[in-house]
Amino acid sequence: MDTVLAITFKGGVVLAADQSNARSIITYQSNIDKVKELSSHSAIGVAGPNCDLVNFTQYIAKNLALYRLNHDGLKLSTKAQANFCRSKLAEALRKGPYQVNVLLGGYDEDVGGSLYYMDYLAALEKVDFGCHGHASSFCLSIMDREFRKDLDEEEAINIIDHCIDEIHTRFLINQPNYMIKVIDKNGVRISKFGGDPSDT
Amino acid sequence: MNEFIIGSDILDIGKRQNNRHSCHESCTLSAPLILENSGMLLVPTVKNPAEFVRSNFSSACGNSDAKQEVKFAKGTTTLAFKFNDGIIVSVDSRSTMGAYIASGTVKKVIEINPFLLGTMAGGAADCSFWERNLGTQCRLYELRNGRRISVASASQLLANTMSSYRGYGLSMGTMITGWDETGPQLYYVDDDGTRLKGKYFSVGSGSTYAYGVLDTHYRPDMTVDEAIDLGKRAIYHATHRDAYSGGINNLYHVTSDGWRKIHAIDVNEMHYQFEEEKQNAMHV
Repeated sequence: MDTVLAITFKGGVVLAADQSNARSIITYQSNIDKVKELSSHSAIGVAGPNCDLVNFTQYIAKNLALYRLNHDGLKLSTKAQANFCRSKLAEALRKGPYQVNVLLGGYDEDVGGSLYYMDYLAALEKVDFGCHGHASSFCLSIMDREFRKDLDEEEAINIIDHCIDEIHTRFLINQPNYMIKVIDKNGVRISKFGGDPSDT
Repeated sequence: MNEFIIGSDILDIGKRQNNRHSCHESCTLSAPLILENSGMLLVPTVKNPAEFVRSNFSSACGNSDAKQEVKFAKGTTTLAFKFNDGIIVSVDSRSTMGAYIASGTVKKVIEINPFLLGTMAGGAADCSFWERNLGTQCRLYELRNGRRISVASASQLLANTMSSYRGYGLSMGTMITGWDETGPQLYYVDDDGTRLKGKYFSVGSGSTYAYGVLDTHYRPDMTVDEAIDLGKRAIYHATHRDAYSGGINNLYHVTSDGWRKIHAIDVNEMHYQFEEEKQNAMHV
């Protein structure tokens, strides 16, 4: 039931995810943060059960931190991080799979913003924009229509807003709050959210 | 004649060798899955233990567990909420097996230690065993580190345990709550490893009814008496509408000095008391 959306723009990536955690007919919380920081200039939007979301993102983030510690502060590129992520998904697939669909976005000096689409079967693809969840049925066409290579941050967030409005109009499940984060040369920052994750 | 009776694999463990010879051809038995030698946790000797447990021991509401040979107790309302003066934990006490009320006096709040409480919803055995196990882990933490464990760590220990038994058919929906150095904390921990930090939760078949009252009247700046009243009423309304909840409302208040049991009131008595209140309000 989770929704994750992402669009690259000139100079970075915008990642958005819904903030609800629900089971059967009850919504337990509406202020969950599903866009987790992996490193200073990358983040991962995750769709899936809370357990796998937390375990998987913490596992990847801490391993990336360990790499930096072991290799004298060398930061992995977004492409390397995405491939690392995929390899962990693939390893676990035949043992105890992580049931997560992810969109990994990051900023590199030489490449700019890049976005990688991964699913729970450990498929990996570099994309300009992507969505996970039932929302993808409604939102991919909006992104196809409005995406251009030379978007700026404001236009990219605008497209995300259009997608969220469409989900609110047409999607059966109530997902009132969305967390939107931007990754650019300054790092990962929160653009806006519906529910404050620290309000617990 | 079908000799494969549900439960015979588990109950007649000593006779398994004999059973294997005389078993019906359609039974598919595999070697028991022994997790660790010291614990010797045996699971049902079928091809897919998780599926077997899920279909035969699943905690189901209504009649979906009618065909099961072994019906497990289910049906409950538990709730807990944080407010400025601490945490209120309020639960019912009914245990049902299908349409039969097995017990009206179940203790659904488990006192892990003087500063930690856990609630019970789902499989009674799973809840009481694993929360007791959590108590052991908390005590070991205290002995090793010289200080009390935080609620966040305690709930994480339980969530990790649930995570490692994923797919084994455990059924547990619990709230771990207490007061530690960072103040009052409330976590919801689930049998599929979900761990959520929040201001209030309600778990069980009657949780939707409790949420109705809780969402409408909850305020963080309630007085202690108002909070106790809200906890009491939310459970009462859930027991009134949900057939699988009832019995006695056990209510606890957690403060910086630890938890304290406030009352154990029969919900039927509450019913007449509230009815009278409404009558009096009308005449005024």
